[in-house]
Amino acid sequence: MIIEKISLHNFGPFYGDHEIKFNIAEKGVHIIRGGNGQGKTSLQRAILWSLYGKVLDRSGQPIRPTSLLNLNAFEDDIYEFWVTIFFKHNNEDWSVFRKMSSKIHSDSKYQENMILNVIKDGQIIAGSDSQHEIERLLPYHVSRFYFFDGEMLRDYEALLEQDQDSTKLLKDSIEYVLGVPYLKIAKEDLSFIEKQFEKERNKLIKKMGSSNLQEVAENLQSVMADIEDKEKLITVLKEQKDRLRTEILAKKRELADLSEVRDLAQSRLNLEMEIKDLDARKSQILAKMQIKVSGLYKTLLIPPAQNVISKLEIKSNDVLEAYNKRQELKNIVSRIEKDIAEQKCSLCGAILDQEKVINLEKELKEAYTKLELIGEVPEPPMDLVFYKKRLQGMISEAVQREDFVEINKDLSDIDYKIAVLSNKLTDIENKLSGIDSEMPKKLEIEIQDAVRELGRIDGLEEAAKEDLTELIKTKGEWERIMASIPQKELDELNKKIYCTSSLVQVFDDAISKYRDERRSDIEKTASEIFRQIRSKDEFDHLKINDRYGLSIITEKGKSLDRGEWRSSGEEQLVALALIGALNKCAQIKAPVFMDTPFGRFDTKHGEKVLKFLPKLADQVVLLVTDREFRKGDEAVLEENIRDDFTIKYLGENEGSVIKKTS
Amino acid sequence: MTNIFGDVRTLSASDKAKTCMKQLVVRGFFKEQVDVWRLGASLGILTGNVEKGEKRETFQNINSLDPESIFAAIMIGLHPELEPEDRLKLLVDHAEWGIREIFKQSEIGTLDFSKLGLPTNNNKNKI
Repeated sequence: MIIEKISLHNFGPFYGDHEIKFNIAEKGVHIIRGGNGQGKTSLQRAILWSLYGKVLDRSGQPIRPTSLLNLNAFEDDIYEFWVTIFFKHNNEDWSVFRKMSSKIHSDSKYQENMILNVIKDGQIIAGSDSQHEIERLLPYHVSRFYFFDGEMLRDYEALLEQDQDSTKLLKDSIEYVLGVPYLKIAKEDLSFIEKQFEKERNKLIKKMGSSNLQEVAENLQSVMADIEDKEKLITVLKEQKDRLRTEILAKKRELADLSEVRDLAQSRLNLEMEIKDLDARKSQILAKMQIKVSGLYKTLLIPPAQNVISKLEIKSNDVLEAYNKRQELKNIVSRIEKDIAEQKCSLCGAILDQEKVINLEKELKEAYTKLELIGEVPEPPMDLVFYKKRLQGMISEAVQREDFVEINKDLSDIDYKIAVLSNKLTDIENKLSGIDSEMPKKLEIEIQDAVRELGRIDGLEEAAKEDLTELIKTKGEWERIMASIPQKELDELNKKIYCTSSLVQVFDDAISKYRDERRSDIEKTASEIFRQIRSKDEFDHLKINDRYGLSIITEKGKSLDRGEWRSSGEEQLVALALIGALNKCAQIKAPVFMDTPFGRFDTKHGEKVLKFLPKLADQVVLLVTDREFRKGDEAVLEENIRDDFTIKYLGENEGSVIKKTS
Repeated sequence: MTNIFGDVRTLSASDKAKTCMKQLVVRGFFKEQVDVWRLGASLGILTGNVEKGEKRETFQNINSLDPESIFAAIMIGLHPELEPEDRLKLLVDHAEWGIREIFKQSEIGTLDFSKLGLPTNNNKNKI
């Protein structure tokens, strides 16, 4: 099967008519890009819904038809949606058209009015056969290996736990891929024929009327009825167990998601602590900065202060000089006046004669003149001196600008670290929003209850099987008695019963042998793929046990327990190797759709897986986000890219659209 | 000692300047509003810029803002010819401009104390 075109109408986020046409002239990889919530998973679901009329969400629950209708269509009161897939299979052109419509928005009404049209090479396939034809091309049970969701790889990784119960459904699906059920169906058909012969024989015995035979036949019939009842009981118990296992698996998956939540919560706590420490460090630096800043004004005032100091110096010096000169003259006047009055020199003590007195009077006059010239001189400007000293002191106390360079650097470093951590914190908080913290505990209790119930049903099944073994033994005894009674017609039936019974045994052995061979094929192919994408060279190959449990074998032949190499990226590699092998070994050829398959890979492993993809199937469709399929990844796929589309959600009014990537 | 600023004992500030000072303290650049005022006034004096006109109301006592009489010394040294009241008004005008400038730089993320008041390539003459 190679998908050529998909047409959608009002399906999921796709409002109105949309179409995606693949270039299938050559084998290769088709890329469909889109961020989260743009419509990639919905596109994959549209294909599955078109093929099977049902589609599951990520918790394994069916999505209701009312949830499949586009919201805008619903608001427009248009209650119809459809999907058509056009594909080629064995050189024949096929189309599958599925439509749901109703007058009211109701799940049951949509279901009632579902239309399925399957056309093969222009011939319409009759209604009841159409679903059967699809199942023949790609059985629903195996579709999970062709349309898989990277988010669901955990289911496959569960195989690595070697837990034989929890993955039974997955193992059954694997057997479907390998074709084991065809042999099982043949065996069941033969068992049915054997029972028919036995019933015929009983009727014959009754007809023959012999009392001996009658008694043996009645006993045989009674035992056979008991066997049938027991077989029915065992089937019912098995179904109950399957349901419980599915429930347990879903709950374990949910719990695993929540354990990631616990890890995230711890990371959030650590980040919050780191940010708190950085905030405290920042506060210390800010406090240091504030102290420096409080003195920075003095630094800024240095240039004007230097200017003022020099101005003040000039001004105060001028005033002081005049003051000192006047004071000196005043002293001279005072001395001369005293000498003249006392007629005695105050300097040498000599008595002054008339001539000397005249000279002194002359000197006094000159001093008066000079004093007059100087005029009034104010007191020395002590406040100017005070301010000058203040400013000089200020300059010596000023903060160094260079101190702020280091503070700025420290603050920038801390701000950067806080921003990085805050971004991480926001991511985690987004992931954690709306999660119930009590949920893990509730789930653990529910899982324990379900496991207990499973144990109880196991006990009932064991008891029923023991009873069945006893009944089969009793039946065998009655058959031996029956065989000892010679009757020709009866002999014929006995021979037929013997033949069919032998054939049942042959098919039983064949199933076991076929299963072993196919498992060996898968093991070889998975190992081959694993070597191409493995994370470590010392991991040599994969080993698959009889219940499809997986282990890694090292170069030295050691079988590694999952706990010894646990890493989500490596687990995903092993799961991908298994899926690749199942695709290659399957009897069915179909395209492989991979939705967000690289979520947990680093760049190196992402590249390895990308290189391997073109070998996985004739048509591989990658539904990827820009985070997992980055710029340059196209080069890794080399010449194998056939198409490159982008799904974009344009908003509430227009919904999602599919366009060629520009 | 001469009374450089006359009889006025308090300094005033506009509502805008008060808001800027408050914000700068909240953002952690400064410990107290008086630190913003002093740095703003010194930036205005250094660059010769003033902001006039807006209505102003009492902000702080002069002694609290200029306990070491540094602004008094600077203002008397730079403007001995002015009347004390005019000298005080000029100091307030410088502070108004400087406070707004610091706030503006913090808003656009260019506030760098190591370079505050130094000439820049873009604005050599202004700051």
